[in-house]
Amino acid sequence: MEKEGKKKNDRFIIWSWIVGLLLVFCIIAPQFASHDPYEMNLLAVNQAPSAEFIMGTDYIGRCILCRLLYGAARSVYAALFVVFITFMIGVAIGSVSGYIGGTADLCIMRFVDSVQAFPSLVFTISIAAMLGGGMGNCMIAMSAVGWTTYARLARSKVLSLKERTFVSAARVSGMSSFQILIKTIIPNSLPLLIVQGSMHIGNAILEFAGLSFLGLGTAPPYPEWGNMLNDAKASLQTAPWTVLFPGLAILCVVMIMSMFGDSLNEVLNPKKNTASEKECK
Amino acid sequence: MKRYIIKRIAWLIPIMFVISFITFSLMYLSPGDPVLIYLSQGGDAPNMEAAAELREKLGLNAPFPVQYGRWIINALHGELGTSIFTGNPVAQEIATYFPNTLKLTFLAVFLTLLVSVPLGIIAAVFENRIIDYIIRFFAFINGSMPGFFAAMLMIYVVGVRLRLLPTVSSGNAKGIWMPALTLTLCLSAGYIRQVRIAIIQELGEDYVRLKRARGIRERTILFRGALKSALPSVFTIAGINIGRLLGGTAIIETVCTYQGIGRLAIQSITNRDYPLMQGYVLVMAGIYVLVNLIVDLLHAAVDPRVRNRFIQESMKGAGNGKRR
Repeated sequence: MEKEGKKKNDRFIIWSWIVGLLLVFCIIAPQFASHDPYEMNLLAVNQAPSAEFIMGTDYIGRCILCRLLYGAARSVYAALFVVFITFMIGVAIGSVSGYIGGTADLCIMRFVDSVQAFPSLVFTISIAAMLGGGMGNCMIAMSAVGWTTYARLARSKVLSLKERTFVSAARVSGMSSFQILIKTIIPNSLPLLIVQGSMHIGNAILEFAGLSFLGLGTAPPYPEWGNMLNDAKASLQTAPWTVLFPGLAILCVVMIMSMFGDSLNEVLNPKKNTASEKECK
Repeated sequence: MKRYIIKRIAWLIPIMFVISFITFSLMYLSPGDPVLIYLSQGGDAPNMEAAAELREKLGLNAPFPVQYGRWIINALHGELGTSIFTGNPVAQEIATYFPNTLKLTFLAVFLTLLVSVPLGIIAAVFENRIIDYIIRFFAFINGSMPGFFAAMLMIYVVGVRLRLLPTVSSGNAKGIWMPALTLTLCLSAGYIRQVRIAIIQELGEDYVRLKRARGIRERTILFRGALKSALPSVFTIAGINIGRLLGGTAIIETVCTYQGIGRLAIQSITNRDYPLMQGYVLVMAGIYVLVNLIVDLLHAAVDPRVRNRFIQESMKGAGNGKRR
């Protein structure tokens, strides 16, 4: 049993290192680019991968590898930021709602129900479109929908912790409600929420790429993996590499993030292993 | 049980109310004046007097609650306004495109079940053996793949290279297969995992151990026992997915140029066709809520364990209400 626990820890440490390196790499990636990612070259349109352009060129002759490298930070950090924001908002609203209880809680939860009643993609797309697109607006749209998951989870956790002895003890010792919430209840509900957050990163990357793909995310000419695929749509039949490489980049990053989420889940949440695996679609 | 059903249906009313409110305020708050967009369609700069007149005629000068009230009353009569772009009633546009998406969704979910139930069972039976790892590995890759990337790969491999299916889906009898197969590819990842876990959990239950002890054949235990108890929850997930897919096929429909409602919605976004979008969001959210309700009730009807939990929950809910 102990050996198994150690194995899980090791796996988590390995995946944390990989994710950490990935995040650093995304920032320094532009240093490795051999061309200017914005430089158009109409003499070298849709060129197949070659020694000069390792991943080929796109429909206006830009180097795909360089655009991938420049786009990495945008594609990954936007999603991370969304996860962070939704986490903070969701946990704050959910735990306060659960702690206060009563009518306020009922109203907030009905609101959460209604937001979750929208098919999330439709809702996100329409908010992003209403706001007029762009990277910031997409992130707002994703956050506006995403916080509800955390709110619901945080609330259910707070409800079960609220009645525990250590919370009563804190109350008796004269802590204010705010202090109780911050110092006793939230720290105890964090593991579950963090697991949820780590599982969310991969989905957020996919979703952000999807919005960019629809032309709602990053505005051209800035490189971003989703909108690179959007650019490549037209040349799919003649130049499949324009599609292949950005797609693989997204796939790899999402895979790394979900492996990381799984390993974190195993460490923080050993008992509920199967149950939480069930929840993460 | 009856009490639970009534309660669930009663909850639909406030939820639909909030949904309609959110939808309406989204459009109300959106930048871009629909009147100016409508008038500048021909390419001329809009005439300010005409704009003011039209605004008065459409009732856009009224305060927010009045506009909302009017809109809600119209929506209850099935009138969702007129599409700015095509000039047709929104309800008519939705009615034209919706059946295509419905067909696509059902085909995709059917194919997904066809693929993933057997694979899930195989993975569960051979838990932690090579076959299990192979299936899980492919499911994992599939699950991490962006839908639009999968669609483009499918178009390239099946359409361009193998020439098995047309690359453009609209106006073609075989057109539905490309988006349907793509959706199957994307969906089956999650299903395989869920079927596998459901079966593994069932196989760990006491009644299975009892049957094993009685010497019943492993195959009988699997098909008569575990599968029978695990399937309702699998179908529930399928049902929920139908609701989610109806609104979630937009990107794949766009890539495959399939004439579905999702593509219509994306086009309406590009055209800034607010009434059409508003109608789409409202209708889709309504359908989604309804489908979820039906699925929940069916699940409760099929699986006695779920039914008991529901009844307990609604009793508990009633108790809480009294205490307050």
